[in-house]
Amino acid sequence: MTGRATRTFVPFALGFGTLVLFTLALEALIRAGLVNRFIVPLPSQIAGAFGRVIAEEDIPHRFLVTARESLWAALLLALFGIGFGVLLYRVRLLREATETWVAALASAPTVLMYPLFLVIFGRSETTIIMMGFVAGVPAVILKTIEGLAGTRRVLIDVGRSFKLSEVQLFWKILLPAALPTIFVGLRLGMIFALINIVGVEFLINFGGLGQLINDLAERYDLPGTYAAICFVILVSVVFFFLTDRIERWLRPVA
Amino acid sequence: MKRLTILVAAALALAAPPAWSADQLKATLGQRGNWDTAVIHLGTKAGIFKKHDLEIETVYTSGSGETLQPVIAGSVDLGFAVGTLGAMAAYAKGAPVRIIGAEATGAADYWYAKTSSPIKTLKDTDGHTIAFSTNGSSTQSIVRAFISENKLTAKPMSTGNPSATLTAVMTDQVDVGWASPPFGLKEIDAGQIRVVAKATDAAIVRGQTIRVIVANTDALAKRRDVIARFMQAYRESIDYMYSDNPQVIKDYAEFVGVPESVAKRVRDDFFPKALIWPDEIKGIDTLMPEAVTLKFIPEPLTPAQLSELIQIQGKK
Repeated sequence: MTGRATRTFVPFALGFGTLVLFTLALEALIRAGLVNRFIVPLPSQIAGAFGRVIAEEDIPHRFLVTARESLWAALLLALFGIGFGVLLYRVRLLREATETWVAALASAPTVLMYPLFLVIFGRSETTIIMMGFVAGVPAVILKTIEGLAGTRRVLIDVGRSFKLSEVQLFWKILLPAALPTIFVGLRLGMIFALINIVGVEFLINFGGLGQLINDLAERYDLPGTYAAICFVILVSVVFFFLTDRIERWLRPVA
Repeated sequence: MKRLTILVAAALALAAPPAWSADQLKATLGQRGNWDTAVIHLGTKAGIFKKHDLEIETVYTSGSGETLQPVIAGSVDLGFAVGTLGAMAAYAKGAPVRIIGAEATGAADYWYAKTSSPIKTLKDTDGHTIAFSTNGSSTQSIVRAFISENKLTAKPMSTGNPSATLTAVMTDQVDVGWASPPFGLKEIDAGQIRVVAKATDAAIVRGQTIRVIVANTDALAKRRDVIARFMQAYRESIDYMYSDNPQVIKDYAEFVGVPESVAKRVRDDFFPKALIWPDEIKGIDTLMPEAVTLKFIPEPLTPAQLSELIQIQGKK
């Protein structure tokens, strides 16, 4: 095995092995009666429930609904979050006037505003997408500002010495330098967005996987409920994989 | 040393059992403020549970699943207003839960439309949307019964709790909303909405126990006498709630935060005493196929399973 392959394989094996060990330990604890099986189902039962929920609960469609909502929220986050971040970076007065408010919004429990969003957007996917967007956008704005403000002065000076216009300076110096931080913001924003998307689906009993989790919990189908939660994790994994790929594509040198 | 002695004495005094040491029971209750879930509160205010040497610790929840889970886990002894189908589902999966009484037979829920709407009766709902709370809920069953019994072409729509539903109705997202009194009575009085139908307009609902009282199996086995005594106090509390004692309406109005006239209307217009009387689980024959259709249970429960599941306590 080459050195690079070893570097890739070992962390993966360690992570996966830890997950397997944790699952086995949980199975043993539940079977031994140390964890109540009517609260936490056996991992083997959850594994057994996958086929059933996929076949009977229309998981592919629900997965796509939640993924579509997450995708729209992510696109809005990228467009408006980065856009507002750039605007606040460029207009100092605006930044000083609003940055504290944006930071406050980041820690606000915006999920509680869902009745208002229901009034504005109706009982629809738009409400869910907008709830996700509102929850995630402060992190993207703040990290965009941080990334742009953290660009090394020497890089900007080099750009100016080449007589780059403001637009060229932004696209060739500021944005590439800020990209890693901006992507951290995007990932954070997507975490908040996905939590809110699934949470609102659960609360208003509408949409994809969140609604299914609610339905299964009401039916006291615990293995099914946990299996559905695994699909939410899968949505998260897919989005993180995609953002990682996009970041690599935008920063081929990194 | 003197300070230490005082501290120890204070600690011992605090740790000592109170002079009156009643049997304690813990309970979860769904939907705070509904008349049917106010039995323990009103009975306690009237001193009925104390008379039976009982002290009830209550925790209110927002739904059936949330009420049932602590009972299954054994962190509380009793659960109130658990959906009958949900209790059946938990039992069928081996959860340590038993039905010890009916909580609601029939339903007090009602359906309404905006006053400006042309919809005045169920017949007018053809081609319109009609709300229910969530999939698998009792309100969904009632809407299905409305449609099948009246051969309607109305389209059911899940709208969530009464508050979210009222918002949906007032913003024309759904034509007919649902509510459970006292919610919405203020809007009816203000002329903003009008009642289109009551749950009891569906024949099937009138004879169906839609919510039940459940107990943890272990608690039932070890404290059967206490739970039976509790159920006696529960029945006495219901008798008191329907007596002509004006204090009960005062207490309920204060509990819910509504005028006494509204509180009285909730009892007299929406909750006949039989609706909350706990002694019989009705409509099992219609509930069972529904439980299978809605995937609560894979197959109907056998008579033996039903007799194990349903153990009405303290019935005279």
